[in-house]
Amino acid sequence: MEELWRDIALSAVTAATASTSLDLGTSNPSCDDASLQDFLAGPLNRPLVLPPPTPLPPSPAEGLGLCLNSAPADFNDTNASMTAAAPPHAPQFDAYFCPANSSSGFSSTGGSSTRDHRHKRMIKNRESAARSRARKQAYTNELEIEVAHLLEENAKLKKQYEELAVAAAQLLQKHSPKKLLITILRKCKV
Amino acid sequence: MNRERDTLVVGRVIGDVLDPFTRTVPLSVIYSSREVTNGCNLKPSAVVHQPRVEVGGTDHLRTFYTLIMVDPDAPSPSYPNLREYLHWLVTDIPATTEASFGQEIVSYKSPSPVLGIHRIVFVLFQQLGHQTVYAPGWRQNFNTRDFAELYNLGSPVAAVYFNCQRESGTGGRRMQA
Repeated sequence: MEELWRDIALSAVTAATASTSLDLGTSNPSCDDASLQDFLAGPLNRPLVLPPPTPLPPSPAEGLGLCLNSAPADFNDTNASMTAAAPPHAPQFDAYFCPANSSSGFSSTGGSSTRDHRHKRMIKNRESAARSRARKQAYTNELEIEVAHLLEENAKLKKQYEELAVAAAQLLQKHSPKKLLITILRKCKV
Repeated sequence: MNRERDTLVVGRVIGDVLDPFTRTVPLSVIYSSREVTNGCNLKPSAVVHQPRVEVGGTDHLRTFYTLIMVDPDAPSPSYPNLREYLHWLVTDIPATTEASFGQEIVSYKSPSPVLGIHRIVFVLFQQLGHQTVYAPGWRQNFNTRDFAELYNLGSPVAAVYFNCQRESGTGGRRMQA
């Protein structure tokens, strides 16, 4: 399977797979997609999925997280937007830094299988999305090739037309139309 | 970014079904005067009857081709445990003619996907001479690569594929925009 992936010229994939080994143990028989998606899911393989980076810049965010228990008054010196943003994010940071606690906050026995289900669902969804993107790209690719081909053919035909027009004009100049017509008709009979 | 120009690679036909190859023979697959271009969409109702398959090449007295039609996404693209499902197998197609001039080893079975959007792939191989080919016992889990190796067909000389989903399919979208 790994060889197949190397052959397929998807630059993102080749860049990603080169930097990591693909023996993540795929149980899913839909091999190629599964191994890619397992890789993608690898770093996120924990109870909580971290959302994309928050609007707050990283260093102040960490500072906020670390000083959750300290008085909010400490941040009065910073600009208003930060202090306004601090309280709404505090409970979220709590969750980020203690993923284990929040997951155990759910049911203890059903928790892990729900996580697995969600995880599997996520992988399947990713594969489906990747296939959808591939379909779309393939269609676009084919259209581009078609357009290039048609433009080339068009140019060729135009050139041919011009050459024929020139040749016809020359012929008409040299001979009388009556003689030409007779010659053409004779050729057609053959 | 390395832009892949081959639609067969982008659509992962090269990878899932075939190894990279060079197209050397023209291949046209035509369903009711509509020619199949890579990645185009066809409904099951459009592919009920076998298509006209025109094959190029030069020497119709000495060159013969094998045509294979498979579905690598059976029964569903997200769980293709029947990959590849053999829809049609024709051998001894003389060059510059059509598939109807060949020997039908496995009869045409029209695609009728239930789950997901399937790729239906046509592959053309050049034979070394006239070929005695035995039909596989069943259509599912066919392997084009293995078949080609078994009968010394070498690399494909042409391939084309289309997408097919169930008649009432929404094109992969869940909600109407």
